[in-house]
Amino acid sequence: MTKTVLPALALSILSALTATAGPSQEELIKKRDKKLGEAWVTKQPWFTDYAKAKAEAAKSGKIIFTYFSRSYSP
Amino acid sequence: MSMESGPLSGDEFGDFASKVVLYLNVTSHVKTDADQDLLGAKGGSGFPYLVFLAADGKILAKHNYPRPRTADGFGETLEEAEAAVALRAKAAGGDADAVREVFGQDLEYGNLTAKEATAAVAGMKNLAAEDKARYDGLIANLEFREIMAGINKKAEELGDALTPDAIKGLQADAGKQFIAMWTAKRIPSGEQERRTFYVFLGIGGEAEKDSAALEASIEEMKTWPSNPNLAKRIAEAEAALKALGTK
Repeated sequence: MTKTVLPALALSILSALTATAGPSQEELIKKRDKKLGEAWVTKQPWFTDYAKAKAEAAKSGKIIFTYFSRSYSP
Repeated sequence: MSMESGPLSGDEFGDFASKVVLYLNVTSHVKTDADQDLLGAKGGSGFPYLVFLAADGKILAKHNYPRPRTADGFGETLEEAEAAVALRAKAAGGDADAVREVFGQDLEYGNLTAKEATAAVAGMKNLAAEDKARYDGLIANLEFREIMAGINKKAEELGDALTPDAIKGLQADAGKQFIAMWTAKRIPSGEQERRTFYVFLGIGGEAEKDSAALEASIEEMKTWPSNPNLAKRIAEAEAALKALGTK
């Protein structure tokens, strides 16, 4: 697979430019809350606080399954 | 995302979920939201991204292609993470082989800073040349990621002041630091890291009028599979090199 020269980490600088020029903070909050209200999230006991997830892992002896997603765009 | 309407919604996922602590990190770009830089800190650069963490936040395993994104696939990676936990217990008990293996895992996963890793390697006795070379490449990956994390943080702090010129300045800033790494022969071994490294090395070389760094960047880029963006970057770098009065 050919990789583009402009790497992902460099693109993150460019995406920061796009983000600040795009939706308002209010719109971003709405998008985030919509994501967190989706059925797949509410169906399972997802932690959204990293510190609390680590505390639960320490208490229960379980490993943390960490899923990274985004809400600012589809 | 298809994972969310698919594997993460199914009943099988519920069975898997009972065996772990579920943590969802959402990049929202809401300025007051916590842990917005955790994706990068845990080695991710896109979505979706799945890792298994210990309670102290260290990465135990990553869920990667070609392993399927299904509850069964997650279960297989969980087994890998559980094996990593057992290995760490062995290392904590003083098993020398386990200590070395855990160190290798921590380097691969970025569970150490470059400084911590360098100090650990300096303290290793009878290290084979092959292992030293491998560790050096992995430590260079850590150093590279730390530099890029610093640059990304500066970019976020600029907010509305992040203009194209400001971006170029940040890239040159990274490139300057990569010139120091390259001069000391600390070259990242990861493919993604290495490519960014050499592109920014050239940008830093232009900014610092360092023809050796610029030449090294061009030589490396010419070994990559061609594409229009790459060809454009090589042409720009060659023009800059010519302007420096070399070639």
